[in-house]
Amino acid sequence: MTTTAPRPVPTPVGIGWRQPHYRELLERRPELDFIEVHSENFFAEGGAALALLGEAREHYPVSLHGVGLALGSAAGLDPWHLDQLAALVERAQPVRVSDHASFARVAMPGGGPVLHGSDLLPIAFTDASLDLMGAHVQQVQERLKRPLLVENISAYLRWEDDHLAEPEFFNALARRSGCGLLLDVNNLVVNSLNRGVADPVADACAWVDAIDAGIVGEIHLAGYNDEGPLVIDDHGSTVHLPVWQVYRHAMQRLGPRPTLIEWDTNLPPFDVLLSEARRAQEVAK
Amino acid sequence: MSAAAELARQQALLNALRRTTPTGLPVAAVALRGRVALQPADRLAGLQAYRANAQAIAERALSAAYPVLARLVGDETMAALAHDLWRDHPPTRGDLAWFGAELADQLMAIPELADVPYLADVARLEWAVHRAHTAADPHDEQPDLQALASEDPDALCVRFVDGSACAASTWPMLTIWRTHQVPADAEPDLGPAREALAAGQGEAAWVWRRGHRVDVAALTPAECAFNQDLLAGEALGPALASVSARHPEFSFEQWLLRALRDGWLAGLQTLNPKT
Repeated sequence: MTTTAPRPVPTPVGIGWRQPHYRELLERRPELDFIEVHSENFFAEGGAALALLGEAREHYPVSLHGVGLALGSAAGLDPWHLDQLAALVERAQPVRVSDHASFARVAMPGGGPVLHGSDLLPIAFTDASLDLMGAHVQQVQERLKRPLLVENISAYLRWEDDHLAEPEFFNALARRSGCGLLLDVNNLVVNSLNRGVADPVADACAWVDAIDAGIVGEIHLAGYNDEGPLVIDDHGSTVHLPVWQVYRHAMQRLGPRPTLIEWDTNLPPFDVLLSEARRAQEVAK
Repeated sequence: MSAAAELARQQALLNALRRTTPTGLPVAAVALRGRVALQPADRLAGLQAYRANAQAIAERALSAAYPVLARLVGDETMAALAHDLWRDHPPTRGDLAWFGAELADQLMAIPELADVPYLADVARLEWAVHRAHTAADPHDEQPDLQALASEDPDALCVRFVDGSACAASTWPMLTIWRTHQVPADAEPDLGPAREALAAGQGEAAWVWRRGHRVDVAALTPAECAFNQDLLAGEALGPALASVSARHPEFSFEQWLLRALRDGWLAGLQTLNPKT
């Protein structure tokens, strides 16, 4: 009796679909396993962008990646934002929905409207922060009737009283709420570089090793900017070598996971993006 | 740590990032000692990274909503406007397409811009266009106007398609806006705008959705007054009386033909319908 080795499952690879490439994607329809859009760019009741998203859905699975839910905000979630997201999920029927482990909504002392920092501000890795995140993730999941993926962020500040390791925080969040992790490998490397560790790749790989493999639902790859005093997660260049190295390690440990090339600033010609996607497929083999 | 302490922590960071004086961030970096686990210089670098990102985000959001204004004033001025608007009218929503609604008022409050008073009106027109892009799609079928023949016009309201807006200016705002509807890498022909400015020509514009497209068209002063009243929720009868008093040349029949031809109308709504 002969046995056949199982064929390796290919890693689904997609790209972030941004406005300058809307038309080109639909005209060329390159081979991609999925596309990802920023949810907030399609918070609309109608219009051309929403129509294009509908067209894209006919050819590609779509994942929705938010930047504005501010899941870790002590001020709570914005009901308006959640309404918009729920309507978009209903309309787009995405394969995945994600946002970040960050805060942005803040009720300032003295009253006035709740402000939105419009950034991915760093949450604390404390029990109270975990309670907040867990409650908000559950609130979103109940509203959307589907699990959420929560992304680890690049943080340019760390809190004095952090007492949970970041992977421990995400493991606990997933156990508590049933959410998954959107593992942003670039953010791991950026944080390691900014902490000045001796071996940023080994440091980021140790992070990957500490995460419960089963909770990782998607991986993000992107470029960073290391020209200033801090390394900035600017999504404005090709993926850097250390990120590819950590990604290779993550694939070996986790097995195939949907992988996205994110590029949000200084957008390149479409072919550069596609070439990065092909490279991800190669590295993941 | 309690939820209240988390709130205080988050307030402290956002408050620090909102300090826009030259000493703001360095002072905040010191004030965050005990909260942030970094040396002072690293705390400051972190704050500066967030501040730079906020500025870049504000500039991108504002330039996306106001592309003509961006061409009129240039990148550096747009960056300064974005900075001030972020300080004075910070975002309250996680969708940055809503950031910048107050820009026209902000422009009017800058004394140095008194020589270019049309900028604020161009900004108002651009904001109307920007918002119309995401309005609900109009229906394809013609609106039901039967009630025009049967109902009291004093109890009848006109509903325009979603995203409709009226902008009026004592300056040639629409001509300036149209002049700049060219590709980003093309130079606009400023001749018509200069001529209209020299002539002191005021203009009114109607913004509405036709399919997925946002259309912008010139209105006569009478049409502008009438549409503004109707948009404000005035019933048809009083709006007609008002426009006729101010603009005796106004013809409702001609207005209706145009409104139907161009797809302005969503329908009619009867106030206090008969039971």
